[in-house]
Amino acid sequence: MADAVFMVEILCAVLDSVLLGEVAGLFAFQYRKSRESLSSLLTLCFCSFCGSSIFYFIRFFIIFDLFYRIEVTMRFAAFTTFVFLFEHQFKKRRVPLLTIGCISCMLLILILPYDLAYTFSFTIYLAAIAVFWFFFQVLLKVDGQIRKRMISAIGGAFVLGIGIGLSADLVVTYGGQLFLLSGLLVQLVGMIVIGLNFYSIRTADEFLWYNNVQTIYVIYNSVCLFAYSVEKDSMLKEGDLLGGGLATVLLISQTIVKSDEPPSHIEFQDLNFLVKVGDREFSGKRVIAVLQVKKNLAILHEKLDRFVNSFETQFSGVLEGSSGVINIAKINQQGGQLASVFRAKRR
Amino acid sequence: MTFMDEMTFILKTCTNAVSILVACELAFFLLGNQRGKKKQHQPPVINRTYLGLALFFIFHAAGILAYIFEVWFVYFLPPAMLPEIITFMDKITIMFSICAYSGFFIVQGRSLTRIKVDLLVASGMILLFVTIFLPPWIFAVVLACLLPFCALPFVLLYLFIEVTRGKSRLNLGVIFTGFSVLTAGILMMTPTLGFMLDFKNWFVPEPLILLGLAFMAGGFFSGPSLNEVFAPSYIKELYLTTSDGRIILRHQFKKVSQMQDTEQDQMDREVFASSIVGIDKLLHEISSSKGVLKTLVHQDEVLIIEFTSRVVGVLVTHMDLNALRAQLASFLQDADATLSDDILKKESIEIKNKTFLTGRVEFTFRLHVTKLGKVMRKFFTSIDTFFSEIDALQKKSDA
Repeated sequence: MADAVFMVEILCAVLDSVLLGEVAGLFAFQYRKSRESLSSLLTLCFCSFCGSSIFYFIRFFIIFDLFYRIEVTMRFAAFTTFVFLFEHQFKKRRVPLLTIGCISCMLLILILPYDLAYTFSFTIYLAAIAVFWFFFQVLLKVDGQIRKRMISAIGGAFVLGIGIGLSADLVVTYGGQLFLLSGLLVQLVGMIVIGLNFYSIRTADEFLWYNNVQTIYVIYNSVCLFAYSVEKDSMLKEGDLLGGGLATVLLISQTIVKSDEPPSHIEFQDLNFLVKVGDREFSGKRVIAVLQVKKNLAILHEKLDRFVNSFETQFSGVLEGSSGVINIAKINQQGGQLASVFRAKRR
Repeated sequence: MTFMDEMTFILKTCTNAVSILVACELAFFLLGNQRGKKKQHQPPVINRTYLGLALFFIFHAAGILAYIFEVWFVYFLPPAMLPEIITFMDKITIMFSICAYSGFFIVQGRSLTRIKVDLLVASGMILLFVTIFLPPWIFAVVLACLLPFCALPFVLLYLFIEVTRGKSRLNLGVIFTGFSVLTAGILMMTPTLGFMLDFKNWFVPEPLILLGLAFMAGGFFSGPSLNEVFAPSYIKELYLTTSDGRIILRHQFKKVSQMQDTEQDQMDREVFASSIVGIDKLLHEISSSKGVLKTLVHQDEVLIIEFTSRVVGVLVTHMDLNALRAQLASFLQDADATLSDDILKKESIEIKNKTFLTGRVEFTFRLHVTKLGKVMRKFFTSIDTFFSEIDALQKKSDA
């Protein structure tokens, strides 16, 4: 029976490594498609996790100090990637102090005598906290479905962390083989949850959506009511002219395909125009919002939907019964606040 | 257990477990594709193919799971009980294999020739019956019967490869290789060989199955969707215009009616051509970028647009497919080389060799479709019918 238990442990360790490898492959694939640096860093991170898991697996058969050091160092390297991301993306530090700290820790684990290195390896938990903090920051900046997926992924990472803790050498030495088995099973569950959620998110670009938003236009009755540059955080100069041009584009493309609705998406080389028609009618016409973005991301569609709904609600008084005269000044004055939905929240 | 036995056992179990994982992932991935993107019409025949493939992988995963149990029984149960248990577990494994192959064909339904499906289902049922109720010596017969089942998907995949080009063709080739390796692994896993060889040291089918699944996973993940295989069926119209918006050619791939074009139709054509160029110029000004218009997505139609320095091509399609964009770009290069400057300078463009240009259109987009065999023609016809129904419904609602 002991052999069967050992076999289950091995099986879990192998599946953990495979899943980690697959998630790494997923990000590598995304990087190949979008050339986004975040994807490359995440690939690096999950490759390190996978490498660490493989060395953990090898230690089932060969107990050797160096393998333990390599395993911990690789796991530390994976966490360090997140620490670097955290400092780079959110703290905007020119000198990434925490990352340098992590690298020094890794070097010490590799160099110090085994007992010291073993004790020192507990610093990895500090890096783990930084990882959770990083994801918490990302979570604050995303919305809708992506947020739900992120919450599930963080939940999965938490479960994975618990699994790693349960199967740690220290815990297994005191608690027995049962901890190792349950730890590995818990890790497996965590990995599946993480994998599924990262796969559903499709691209790491969704996390940094705010870098892709450029301009929002609101068109009503072929007249541009509101043109706001999200990049410059101000009303767009010559907004009426550009918005009018866009209204014409929508009208023409609507005519050529003989459709009642304008196109939902226009791709213009490296730019994308996402179009959303409002649900409510004002004097027989609907509001049309056009978002100019660099990449066509799912989260931006959700945000545009929300923006149109808020716009219709807030300015229904202005638009209803306007009999041809619309108080554009009021829209320009208050619309900027609504456009904050396209800016990353600073909490 | 000797050290070698232990190692083989570990390798067998781990490889099979990873195979199950990959098979399940593939199944869910294909089921996800079957649902398609929101607001996008996906023909039922494509959905059925995805569903059939998902079933294929789920049943294989179940078969491999049964095999894992068999391996465990062989290593952990007393030898006296083994022959009966091995026979029973083998039957289950083969049963799942039969379900995997026949399930794929059952789901296809009318996409394939009806009589073939009926025959396949009937022989599948007989195979299942034989597997479950007859003694182990019949396994050789079962295997012999299973071979045509394995061969048919090969033929279907080969036909798919025949109609594709470029990256899609490469990916389908990878899937084909994976399928060959997987089938070889499954056939080696069956008891006939197991009885002949020492089961405990027989570590060949497992890596083959895993390798086959990995190849297939690579092909499916990196490859475009199945829609790309049937891309020609998604095209509605092609417009070829000069860079200043004068129409050179309009080609309707699916003739709505045999009636002659009215004056209004001709005007619409002119308007369409100049509008696309107009939209491009306007977006140029708005975005102040040097790019060109690529795609216009409407509810039921997608306009794929490609430019050269002298001509513009617009493909009106049901879906934005990479294969179509590549074909359009290739056609534009052909057209650009064919049309002389003198012709393009004239106000109303009269092309003397219009038949040649139309022939090029057919060659680039549809020629291979007309050379299809019976089975592939069935697939294409059902997609064409689906889109014709949608167009008819749309026309009705417009009226």
